[in-house]
Amino acid sequence: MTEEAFARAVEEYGDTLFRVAYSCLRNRSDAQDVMQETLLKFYMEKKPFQSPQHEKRWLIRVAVNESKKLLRSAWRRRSVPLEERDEAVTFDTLAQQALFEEVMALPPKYRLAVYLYYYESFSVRQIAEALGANPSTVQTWLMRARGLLRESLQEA
Amino acid sequence: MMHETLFRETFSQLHASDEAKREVLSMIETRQNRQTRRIGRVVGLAAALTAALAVTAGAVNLFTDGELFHTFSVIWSDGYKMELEDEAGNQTTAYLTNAEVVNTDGRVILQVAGQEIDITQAMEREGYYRFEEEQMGLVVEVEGDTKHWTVTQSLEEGNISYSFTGGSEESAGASEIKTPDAGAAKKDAGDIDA
Repeated sequence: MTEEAFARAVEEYGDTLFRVAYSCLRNRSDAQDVMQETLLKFYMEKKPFQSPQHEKRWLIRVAVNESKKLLRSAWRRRSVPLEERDEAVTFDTLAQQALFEEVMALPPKYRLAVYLYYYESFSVRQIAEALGANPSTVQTWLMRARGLLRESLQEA
Repeated sequence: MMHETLFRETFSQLHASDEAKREVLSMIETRQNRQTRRIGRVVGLAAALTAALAVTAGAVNLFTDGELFHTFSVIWSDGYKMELEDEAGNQTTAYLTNAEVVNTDGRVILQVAGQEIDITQAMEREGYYRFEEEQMGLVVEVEGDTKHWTVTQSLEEGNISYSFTGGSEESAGASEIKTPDAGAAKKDAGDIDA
């Protein structure tokens, strides 16, 4: 891969990978680390991709795996405070702020499933592949996440 | 029902910093510069070394074919691949072939080379799963069922073959390093210094 092609990939996928990682980790610095590691793996990947969609799904799957690895790491469990989310994210409206806070309050697997479904327009099957879960399990996560969001946003 | 437009508007405001993007571009440039002066070989690095590496974090003794121990500094790592340099400036690449099988929510997951692969179906149907990574010359074989399994990792590098065997708690085995000259020398994972 040329430097130019890699620079285009950073521009095209950088924010997407950051959002995937943030949805899992709720921490800006960690999410940026995951974005960088995922892009470096992409740079070193030798096998050709069948299509741009295949390429994007591969990148998202790697970002999910890297995020889960970081989430599991003993070092992070010891060093990250209970309130992980930094204060750097600001929104245009209160509705956006409320939605973001409630999505981020969901368990990590729900957050990721919701993000991939509603933002990346992934199908349930594609989410299952990305998260290494059964499609029926993903369906359940989405249903529970919707229920939790409905309750919390009505209360807000 | 989720308001999809609001969701998109909200999450579109999340961006990685320009600095983080510039950093990853500069990592590639640095890496390319390093590659031009590299004279090293590819060295397979055992899973058993991984934990010790995390502790020493900076300098590591590798089990090599030329000498028993050799000291390298870690100059770059992406989690499972590392660029190493010795005191003479010789550079080499090491792979952390830390294949592990875990049972998560009833699913059997093989974690290897930065990937997580759901092997439940293969274990249920065949009692066997094989993973191959050509670039590293890595082969991981999992045998057993969804509750008890044995993991064998083989790493080919030149005329040297490294083989490690482990498994689920109930069937844990010892680690083994094989070379053509020395034959098989059994070691417990904890005995390998780094």
